[in-house]
Amino acid sequence: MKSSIIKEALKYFTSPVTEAFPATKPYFPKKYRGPPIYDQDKCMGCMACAHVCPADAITVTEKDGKRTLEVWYGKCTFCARCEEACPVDAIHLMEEYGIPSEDKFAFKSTVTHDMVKCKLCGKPFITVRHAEWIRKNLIEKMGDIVGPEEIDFFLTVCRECRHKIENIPELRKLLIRVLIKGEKT
Amino acid sequence: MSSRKCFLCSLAKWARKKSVWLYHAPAGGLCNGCDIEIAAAITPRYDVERFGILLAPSPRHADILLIAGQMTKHSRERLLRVYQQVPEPKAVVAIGSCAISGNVFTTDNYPVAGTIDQVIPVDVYVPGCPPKPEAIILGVVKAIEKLEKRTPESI
Repeated sequence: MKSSIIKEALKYFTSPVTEAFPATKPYFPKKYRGPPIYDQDKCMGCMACAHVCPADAITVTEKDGKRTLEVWYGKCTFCARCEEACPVDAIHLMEEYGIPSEDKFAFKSTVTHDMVKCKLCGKPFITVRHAEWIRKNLIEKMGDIVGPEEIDFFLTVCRECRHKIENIPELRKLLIRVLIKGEKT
Repeated sequence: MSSRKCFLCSLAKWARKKSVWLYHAPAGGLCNGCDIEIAAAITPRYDVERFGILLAPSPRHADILLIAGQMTKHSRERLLRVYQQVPEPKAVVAIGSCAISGNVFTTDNYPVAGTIDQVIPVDVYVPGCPPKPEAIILGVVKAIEKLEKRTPESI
């Protein structure tokens, strides 16, 4: 720590301190937090980033069976909570600064996903990739309790339909099995 | 006579472009992060004085108004007064996320009187929390371009 300070102080005797800014690249320190950007290939549209965002800079819009996540840098605090919360590392903070603009809605990063429609009511409720991810994880971690048919039921029927009176016995059976397993372990 | 370019106007245009003076107005509710970054932009490391950019002590001497932070109910009147004191032609730069949208303070918080562009016209927005000094310099450069367009070419 101390030696680095002395080294930097000595540097000022040899060359000018001033950065020739437009000509040279700006200096970014370690763990610098710039504007967040989405990775379209990795993102699955689970909305974890939108839930943890303290400034509500990430907005979710669902239209025509597509879910769009949009982060607006004009409201972002660059706190990296979204980066921490993302289960698949699909959002990361760039090593860059926000470019000034005359239009305040110009600075943003968006990502769009197709959605799965509910088997019973026909309303889109989950993205295709998110459903795949949940299926993979459920089979991996709870494959001994939850059968593949039940997993299919969860991933093709929306929450409102699942909570209807005729579907409650099925859910209850599953809940009891999960509770029994929890008691054993 | 009015259609012809006058010599004094072109001289004023050149002088204004050569040396732009800024007035820095913190608009009430802010954490002072953006103010510190504006101060960092005039340090020897970035040295904006090589472009002729200087912080003016009064809005009456300034060409460009730098506004940082969220506008509160108390600062609203003062901000308007500061804006009216800047002589024409003038440009306004909003610095930081708070000045653009309110950031974590939002616009429906009780001491807050909306965003800055609801009260005075903003020309350039600089995003960041806080923005890097480089971004502030680029924002001022964009404002200078706007200032140049607004300078009258004849009296």
